Amino acid sequence: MAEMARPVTEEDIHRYVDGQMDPNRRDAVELHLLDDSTDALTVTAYRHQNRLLRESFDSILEERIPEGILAAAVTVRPRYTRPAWVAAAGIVLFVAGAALGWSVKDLGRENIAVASATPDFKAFAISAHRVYTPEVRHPVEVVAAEEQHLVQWLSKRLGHPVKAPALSPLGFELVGGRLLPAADGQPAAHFMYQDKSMRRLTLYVRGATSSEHTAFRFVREDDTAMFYWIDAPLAYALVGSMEREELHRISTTVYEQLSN
Amino acid sequence: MSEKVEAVLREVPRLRRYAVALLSDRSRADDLVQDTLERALSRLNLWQSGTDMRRWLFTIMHNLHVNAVRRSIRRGTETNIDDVEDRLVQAPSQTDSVMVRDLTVAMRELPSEQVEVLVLVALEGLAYREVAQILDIPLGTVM
Repeated sequence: MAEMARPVTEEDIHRYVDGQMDPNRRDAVELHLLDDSTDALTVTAYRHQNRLLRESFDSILEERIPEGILAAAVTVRPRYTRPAWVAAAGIVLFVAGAALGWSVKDLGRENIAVASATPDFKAFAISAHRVYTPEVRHPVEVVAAEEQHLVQWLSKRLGHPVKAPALSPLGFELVGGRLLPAADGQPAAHFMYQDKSMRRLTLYVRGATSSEHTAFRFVREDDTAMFYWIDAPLAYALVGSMEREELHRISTTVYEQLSN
Repeated sequence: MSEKVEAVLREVPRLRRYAVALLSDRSRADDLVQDTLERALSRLNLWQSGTDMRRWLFTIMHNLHVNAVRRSIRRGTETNIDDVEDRLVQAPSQTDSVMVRDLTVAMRELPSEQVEVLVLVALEGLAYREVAQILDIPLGTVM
């Protein structure tokens, strides 16, 4: 009876909405709500807010986990455990993924997809070059002044360290860069360079597997030329509107700077 | 050992939901999840079997988040609202979209501790006591 007599407090209202009510107290609160329209409205508003929160964020539970997150987990060196664990971690992740129903299936499909994705790679790199190089106000998302932040950010998203090559000796200065999509929802890094006569070059970088081709390849589409190569774990495409010889010279510099 | 790693990975979707709700920014949220996983996997032997893995991971994430917030207050924040805006969580339906936008905007303006309470209670369905333990605050401030 004492539970019924105690006045209903704000804490009661919260507990009622959040389903954390002492069952002995429930009747008292429900009786109170019949009587007090302000508190009843508060309950409705809180419930609505909780529902909106779930509707806004619950879809994340169904999303595919970005590979970079898991890749980072694999490379962790456990501080207090035996080294054998390190070697096992990759396998464990793989197996755990299978048990959980995501990454293994996805990774498997991915490997096959990436191995044959070179045409997509070309299309993405050339398309990105054509879309962003004519931009006057927003050619990049992060400007060259924040290069360190840019490189850290893109490295994190790609799951591998990426660098913006220094092309000043060849007359091209870094404008900045952005995160872009690659095939299959994977991330790519995009760096833009510009010379004194405002010619722009772009470097498109995405993750690669060792099963992909590694040789330097050249493609030309109308006035856009591109050299691409794979230096696992990353694939690179340098795109510009210039003669093959000049682009090749720059590509060689980029390759030398970025290869391990 | 593999069971422990598996137990960690099983929580990744929930950790991401928590991080996105907390930060309203996909890329920073994934960075936070990644940092949490790195921290957790490197200290897996500190986790006691039989205790709640989810709670342990949320505690790690909360601590990393609080430290990051402190650092950014000291340094001044680098986030530009224009950068963040289009990465905000998409509204699930037309009718509620305005309210969801208001809600996410409001969440950005709330002190981060309050957002954490809201998210842990409303999304994770955790008991007030558990929330107080994860956030290391008195029970009375959770409600």
